[in-house]
Amino acid sequence: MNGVTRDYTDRQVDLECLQTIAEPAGVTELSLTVANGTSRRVAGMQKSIQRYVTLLLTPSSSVPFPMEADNLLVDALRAGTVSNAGYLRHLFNMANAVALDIIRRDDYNTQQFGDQRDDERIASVELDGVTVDYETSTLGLSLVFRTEAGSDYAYVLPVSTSHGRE
Amino acid sequence: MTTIAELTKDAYDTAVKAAVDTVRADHPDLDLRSGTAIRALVVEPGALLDASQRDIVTRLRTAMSLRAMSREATVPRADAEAVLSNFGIELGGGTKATGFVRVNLIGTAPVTVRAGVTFTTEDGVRFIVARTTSASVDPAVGEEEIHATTGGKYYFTVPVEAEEVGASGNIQQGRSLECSIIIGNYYSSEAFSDFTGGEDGESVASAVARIPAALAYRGMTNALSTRAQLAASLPDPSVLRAVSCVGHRDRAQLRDKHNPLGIAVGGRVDVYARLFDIPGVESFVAEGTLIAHGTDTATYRIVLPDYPGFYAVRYVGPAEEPGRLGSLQYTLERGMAAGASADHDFVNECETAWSAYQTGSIVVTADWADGYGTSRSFKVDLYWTDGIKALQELVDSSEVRNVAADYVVRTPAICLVSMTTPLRLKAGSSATAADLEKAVMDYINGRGFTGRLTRSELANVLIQHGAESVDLSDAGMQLAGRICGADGKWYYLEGDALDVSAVGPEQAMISPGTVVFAAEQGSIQVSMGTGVVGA
Repeated sequence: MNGVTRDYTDRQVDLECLQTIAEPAGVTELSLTVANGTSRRVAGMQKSIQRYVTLLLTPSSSVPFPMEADNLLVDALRAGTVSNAGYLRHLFNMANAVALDIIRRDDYNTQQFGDQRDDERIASVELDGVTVDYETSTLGLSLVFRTEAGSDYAYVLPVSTSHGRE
Repeated sequence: MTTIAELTKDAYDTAVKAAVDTVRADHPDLDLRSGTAIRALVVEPGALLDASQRDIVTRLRTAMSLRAMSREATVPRADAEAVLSNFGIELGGGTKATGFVRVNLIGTAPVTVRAGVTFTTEDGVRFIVARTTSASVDPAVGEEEIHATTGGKYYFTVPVEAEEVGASGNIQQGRSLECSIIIGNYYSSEAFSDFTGGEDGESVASAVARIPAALAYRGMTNALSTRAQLAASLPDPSVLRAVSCVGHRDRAQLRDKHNPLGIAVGGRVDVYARLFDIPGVESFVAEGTLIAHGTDTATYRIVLPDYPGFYAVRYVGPAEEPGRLGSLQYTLERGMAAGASADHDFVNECETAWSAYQTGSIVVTADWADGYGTSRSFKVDLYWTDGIKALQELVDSSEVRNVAADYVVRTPAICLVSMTTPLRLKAGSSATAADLEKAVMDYINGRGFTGRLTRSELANVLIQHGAESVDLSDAGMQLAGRICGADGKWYYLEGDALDVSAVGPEQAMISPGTVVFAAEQGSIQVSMGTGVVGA
């Protein structure tokens, strides 16, 4: 992820749960590990991306009251039923639509959740490319986020396809 | 315990919103939108627990609220029964339907259907095989026969019982059923005949409606509680049409004046229970014994059989003349059952009137055209409705008896009403004279201890049922009544109002608290004419 601001003044914050990127100034490849260390706060676009990723990677089957449309992306990857890039893109588009629906529903509910600046409000997400790391059974989903303020952010999302520890 | 799967999305969303509002009230800088880590870690688990607790509270409220139970068809029956038991009420259980299933076969090989196998209708009503049934073409003892039909088809029958109580199990003959197991040569099954015996259990609403009576049941301290207690003892409480408690300071309460000064001291209660709409009449033949005779007349005494709490004699006539018009002249002499005085402080026969402690005999004097003998058979009609003795036994029972008062249950004195009236129907009304007569009868017989019946209220009944006007002039509606007092004498009333407040001497025990109005068949007569004066 690159090009994000670190000015978090007067912004709502969240707990950091994705790996910290020390210098978000360029594309950095990270290995998939469990987050360690002291918890930190995140805000701005980092927080929004973390939020999006959480929703994108949450299978419908794992939450008590899922959206009407099923998010099958993770389930399909782990079940090994994604046979080609076209089908992966289809699954991503479905999961992406579900995640963005949820995000927009809350983003526009300012009465309950408060105001949010346009530069951390996700307008769209596109799948720019996919890389496969066979050694770690990990997919790298290259995502491009566009905010309501018009800025684009690139982010590589590692997705484990194994049945191991989540 | 409520599980997540049992929660509704609405309940969960409500709890989430409440949790978000609570956290944000103190920490507006926290982002609690969907997908945030804080929401996943704090809000959503908390909301699940909160929703679960709310659901439990809601269930508890419903399970403890009789009003909610009456409304909610989904309240578990066990919950309803638990609460109702606090009031000594049990839900009527209902019964299961039973019947026979016809199992159709395409062969004659012997088959066995074990107990517990189920047959199910297309809409899910299940029936369980009541006993293991074996069938063959040549059945042994205890086996069913496989019967041949046409086209190489066969069948035998299996007894079943509905899995659940309720009328839904009363399916009709021929209703298709699906068997839960594979039976050799089976091709279909159906209800062999109409299933019967399934009855729904009592609704919670019905049981709740019985609570006032159940609460009052706990003590015979006033008229309401006494009525409730009597009603609760009856298999069908609705037969208890009205109850009046005659106690201290009532003119017709004689038993509490048994002291040298003759003043009412309380402690005695006469409970008058109306157990009828139209007065019941019991007809029987009894033997009369000659007690005196003259040259042309003879007098017989008929000792009445035991009809506890009978009201009065309606008719006495020779048994050999059952169709005789009009009763012979007679005198009713009330008596007192053995031991009654000690039990309930009766000092004379009048005081036993209409109670289970009353006995009676009829003295008939007549000129017998066929001569007389030492005995003679009489047909007797008594005004009597069963139930007074059972109610007396109830109030005398050690579990119920009021330890501070002495209760005697009596049939009410009945003011037998007769009414004739001309009237004019409303234009277009299709009411017949019989309709109007029935309406008036229902009105009179549906009343309790009112003490007064007026021409104007009967006119109003007639107008409500189709009359345009009722003649209330002297030549119009005629209203009369007669009451047999405790002293055995008949007292007559007539005029604009039948007012029983001051009829007869005290010994007749006639007062608004002891008398009900009643109309027999034929006693209300309506004639529809023209030129009638308006009411």
